Amino acid sequence: MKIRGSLYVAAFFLLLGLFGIIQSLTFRYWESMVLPLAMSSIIFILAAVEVGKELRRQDNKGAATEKVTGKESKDSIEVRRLGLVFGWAAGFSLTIYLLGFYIATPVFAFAYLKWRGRSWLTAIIFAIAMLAFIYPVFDIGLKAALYRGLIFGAR
Amino acid sequence: MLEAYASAVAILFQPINLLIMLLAVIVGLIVGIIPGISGITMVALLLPFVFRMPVDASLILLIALTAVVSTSGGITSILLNIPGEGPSVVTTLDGFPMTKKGEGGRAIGAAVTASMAGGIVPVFLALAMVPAIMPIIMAFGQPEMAILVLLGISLLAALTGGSVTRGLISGALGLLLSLVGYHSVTGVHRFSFGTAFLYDGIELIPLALGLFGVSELFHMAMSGETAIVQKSVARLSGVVEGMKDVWQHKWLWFRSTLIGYIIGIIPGIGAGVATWVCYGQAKQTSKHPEKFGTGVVEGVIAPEAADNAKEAGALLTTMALGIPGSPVMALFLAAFLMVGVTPGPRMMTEHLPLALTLLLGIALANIIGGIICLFAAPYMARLASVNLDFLFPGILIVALIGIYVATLSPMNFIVALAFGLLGLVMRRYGYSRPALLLGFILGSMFENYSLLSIKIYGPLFFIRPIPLTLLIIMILLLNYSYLKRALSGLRRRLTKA
Repeated sequence: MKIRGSLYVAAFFLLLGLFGIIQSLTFRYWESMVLPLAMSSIIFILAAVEVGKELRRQDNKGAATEKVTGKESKDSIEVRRLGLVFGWAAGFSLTIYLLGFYIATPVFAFAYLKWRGRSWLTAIIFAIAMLAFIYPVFDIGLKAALYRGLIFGAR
Repeated sequence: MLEAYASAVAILFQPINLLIMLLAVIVGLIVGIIPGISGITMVALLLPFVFRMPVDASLILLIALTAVVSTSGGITSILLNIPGEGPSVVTTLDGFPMTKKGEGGRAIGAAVTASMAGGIVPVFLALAMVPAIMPIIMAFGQPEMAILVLLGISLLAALTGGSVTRGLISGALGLLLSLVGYHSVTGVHRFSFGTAFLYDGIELIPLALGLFGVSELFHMAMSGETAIVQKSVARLSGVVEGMKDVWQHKWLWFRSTLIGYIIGIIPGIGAGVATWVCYGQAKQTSKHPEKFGTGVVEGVIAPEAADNAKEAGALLTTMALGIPGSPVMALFLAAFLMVGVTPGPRMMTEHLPLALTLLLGIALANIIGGIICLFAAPYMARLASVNLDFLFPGILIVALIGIYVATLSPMNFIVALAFGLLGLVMRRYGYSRPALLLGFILGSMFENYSLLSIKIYGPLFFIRPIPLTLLIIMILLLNYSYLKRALSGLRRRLTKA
């Protein structure tokens, strides 16, 4: 039987609440303990209610869900797309960390558009346009010294 | 009081503020048209940059942008059957059939006039309400504020989540996240796991941008759409006729404006509710309800008036009580705090001219936005065809720059990406992102108010008239659906008996 995503999410919050309760009990003074404990308990109790509801729903609709194979493939396509997009975002963040905004931005803009199947010219123009946008707006206009990257000595 | 009104006008009409407003209106109109970017995403993207600007200019920028997003959202609903913003979905019901009948210009004229006037009139209602609510606000002390914060989070949680339970989990999670780091009263480090990065807690900007900006990008990319197919937009005629239609249906427009304003005042309810309620009442009170959905102008006037009317009410609640009147106002709370203005009773006493400036700003932004839309609607509709391939890198670059500018730490990229994923999951499974953000923003405030109240009045500090009333209201609202079911069951049993 296929487990619904909402059950995973509710279970995640249940564990988070439990973790919060255990952690809160280690805080030394009641002033620092009372609110984290209260909030973690609320999350734990409400998430338990959600898990209960989801399990009941699962029991009722389990057989029907099992037969829907089209939905399963749609979910897996979406998860794969999310993985790719998240990979791009994480890769861009790492490139900024290493090389700074002024190198990472055009590289990312160019690489992403090429990956999406755009022509060389479009990708190059877009990459240059992004650089031409961020430098005058942020560095000159807003006087925000953008990160130069770990490799180039920024900390 | 009159002095405050006069200085509000003076602040608003400073040339630099007018210029910022014009730019914000243009950006807001573009955002309203492009499907995939909402007003809330844009406010989140701009948050990191506003704290570098003067207080009044930064808040005028945000309010002008928010005020007109819904005006242009209606244009693509009418001409292309593509709602630029969520609440504009209602306008497609009659707006697009009008375009198909060759009455697109008339529909645009009616929609823009109804939105523009609907955005202006409630401002004066709100301005008139300010002196009336001041004595009530002044009566609020620590216990009242503690319970008020709780009420705000609970209301937003219950109304914006897929269910009350999920909404409340979101609100409580936001509160819990706000407690991460050093506790100033006791010196205890909470949930920081010995990491220096978490000693000062989680930063607001990466959290807000992650929840509302990055998660939208993930959602957009996951949907797999790469471009909105552009449909031909013919030259528009009949715009003036549409403007006259609003005058002919002035009572419908006024009712919708009033309903929108009242819905705006109620914490947590967004434009989605206002537009559907007003469309429903327009249909119910119409002499020809059967024609709704086939392209009648009343079906355009009612939702468009309500959509813009809610802003003034939502802003008033946000400023006066510190409780956001709509989900986008949760981000406004963050903006207020970032520029050093604490929303709530203190704002209405210490920053009254600024509060009035923002209310007047809504009216002025609506006038500017309305005029631009009336003249440029067909050209603006073409913006809906922008390719999403370019949006993803463009928005991600601005978001990450914003995070760095605000926090000066590239480590916060990880926080933004993590909250982007969390936001995506929450959006998908009906958990409330605005409630999480509100809980996060008000968490430390709530802790301070409640600890002070316990120390001054004891653990039963809420047994006082105002807090107790607020608590009862909260409990009733949270259990509304159960109570309604129980009451109808009781009524059925009594009828049988």
